[in-house]
Amino acid sequence: MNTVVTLAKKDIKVLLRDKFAMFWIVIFPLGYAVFFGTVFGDSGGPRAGMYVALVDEDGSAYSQAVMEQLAAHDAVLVDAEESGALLNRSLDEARELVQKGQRTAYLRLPAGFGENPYALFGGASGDGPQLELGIDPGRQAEAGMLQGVVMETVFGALQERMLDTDTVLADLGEAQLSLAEADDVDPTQKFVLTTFLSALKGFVSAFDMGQLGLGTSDDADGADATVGGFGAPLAVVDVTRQRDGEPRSPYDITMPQGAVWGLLSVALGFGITLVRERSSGTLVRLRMAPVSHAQLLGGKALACFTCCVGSMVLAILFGTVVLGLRVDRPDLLVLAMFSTAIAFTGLMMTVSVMGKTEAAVAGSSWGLTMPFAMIGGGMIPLMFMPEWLQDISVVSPVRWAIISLEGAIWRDFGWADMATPSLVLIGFGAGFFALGVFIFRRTGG
Amino acid sequence: MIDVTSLAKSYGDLRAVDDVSFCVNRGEAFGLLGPNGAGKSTTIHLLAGVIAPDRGKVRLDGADPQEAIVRTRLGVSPQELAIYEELTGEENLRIFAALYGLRGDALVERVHWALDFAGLTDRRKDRAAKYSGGMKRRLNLACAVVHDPELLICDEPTVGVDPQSRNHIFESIEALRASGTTLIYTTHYMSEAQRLCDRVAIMDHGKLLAADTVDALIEAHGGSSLVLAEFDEPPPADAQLPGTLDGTQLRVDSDKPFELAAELGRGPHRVRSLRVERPDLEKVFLQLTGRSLRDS
Repeated sequence: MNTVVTLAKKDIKVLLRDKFAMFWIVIFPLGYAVFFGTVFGDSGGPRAGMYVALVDEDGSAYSQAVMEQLAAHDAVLVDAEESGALLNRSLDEARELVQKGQRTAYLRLPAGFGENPYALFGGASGDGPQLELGIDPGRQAEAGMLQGVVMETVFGALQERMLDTDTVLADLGEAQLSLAEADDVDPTQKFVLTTFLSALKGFVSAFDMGQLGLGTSDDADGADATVGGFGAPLAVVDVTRQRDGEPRSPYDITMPQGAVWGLLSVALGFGITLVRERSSGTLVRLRMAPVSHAQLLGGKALACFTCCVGSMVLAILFGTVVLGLRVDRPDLLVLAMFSTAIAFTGLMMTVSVMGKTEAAVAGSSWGLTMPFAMIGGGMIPLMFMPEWLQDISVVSPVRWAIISLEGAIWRDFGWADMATPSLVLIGFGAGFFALGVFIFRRTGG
Repeated sequence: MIDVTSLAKSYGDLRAVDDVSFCVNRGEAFGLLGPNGAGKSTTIHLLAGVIAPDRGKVRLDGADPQEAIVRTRLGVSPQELAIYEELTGEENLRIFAALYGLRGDALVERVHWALDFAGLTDRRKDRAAKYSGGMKRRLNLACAVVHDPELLICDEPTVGVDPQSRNHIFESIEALRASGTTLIYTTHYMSEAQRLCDRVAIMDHGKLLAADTVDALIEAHGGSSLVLAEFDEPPPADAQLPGTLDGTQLRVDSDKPFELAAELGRGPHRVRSLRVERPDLEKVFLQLTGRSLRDS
């Protein structure tokens, strides 16, 4: 085993010092994923921002004002009808969109929300109908930010309402009427409050409220600061995603594609190193050492496998940290990476015996792997391919690699779902490896 | 130590090695001399267990070098530069030391020894790609001896090497010989074989034509010595002189060159200079194959 590890470390070291190979293994795949992910993202597909579905069950002017404030916020996107009016969805519809990952969250404005806009100042939490923010529990960062944005817009709408003299006078009139009808209020307090409301009504009547300069809706800091002090008019509801996964962002599609390009480069890189060793004489030297055929190939395979896994880990880490990629099933991702690395290690072995010179191997291996990439979804996502081409793509390990990676990242695969692509990939790996070893031994290494 | 019996290997119609037999004793330096394509490298590959013979056998103290464990006793410096140019000299040595089973302090100690042996201690952290041709050759040899083998096989170790590095390689190999390492050395330079080897085998077209000490080969196959004399004045046409006279220069083939030289010195014609050329391995090769080693 020491011999295999020594050979593998040597091969990895040699590969890491080949700048050209590292470009194709590291830079190109990430560049591919970022470039096409960005292009898809700007072409009308689902966005990777805070896309909020609106559910207005209140239908009041105040709820409409809150929604418009939200729509105007820079950090939020909402759906609009062709006429420009905000699209009001049913609660079930909005929840489904969030469950499928097509919307970041939904905001529900319940019936009765607009009846008492001043409930924010009403003391205990839970008084009156609460706003409802439905969001995936995994999106903690977005949830926190959206709570702040919603509270900011609610206070903004309330502020606008208080700047309208007629509305305030009407609200004060309703308050006086309610006070007069109340039986459970202490007479002394009732007198004081009635006097105060009358004075306030007189004050509001004497001025144009719009000229009082109560601040602007851009005063976001003030709005945020008041959230804690006025209880919690916003309830956050967990929305569990459905099992039939959909991509949450274009990077869900382009990152696995990019990772597969990295894997192809690893397989080709190691395939070429084997023929380079043959032509440079180091292969003969290794065989003059106490190294068996099996150890020689084992070392090459271990190095290729390690680099395949490393390449995928790097791509996924980059996607997670930089592009906001989220892995639904890390445990299945480990299985996907393992089986994918086996497949591409086997492919490396076949590639390495496809010629006697570096140029021959490079040329013939691209001839083999490019069709795999083309029909397997490495260039055009599988979902955009015609059905007949998707049927043909089953012969490509690229297809199964992408499906297994997507399965762990966003397709909501379970262990049973992952079994097929994993077994197919391992089968591909074993088949390719056996073919490569057969040719290698037949040609005397 | 090494017994080679009726070894044969063909590639298609080409008989690369044809019924070759010889033995090498422990501590001996044995040369395989022959032109390019004579079958020396194929013989080396057979000795090192890289390829299997079609017929015959190779035994290292009775064991087959095709078994990995037996190969730990061998060190082979291939004709081609078989080093990893992307790695440093030290990394190359560490890899080969590890492949031969060295670990820990023993590995570190041997790697330092090999760097010193190759004169690369100061450049040990540089990638081999940055080395000169001579330095690469020295590293190539150092990789073969880093594990302290009992038998060192050098396949044309001085090809394309500058005089300084060539001298360094010679001195290094002579030091190994002095320490008791058995040596098998292939070359097409006669001077190298004569300088390094106790016994020499001459190969051509896959066949081993003769194998013995250098003196014995010359004695058996070198033919006469050549005596070259130059007179002060041209001898008269009827002068009784052996050989071929051309003006003042006389050329004579003789089995007793020194006696002839003395006789010419005592003769009536005044000799300005006298030179005796003894037969060498080049002449042995010419006698055995009918062609010059350099022309092959």
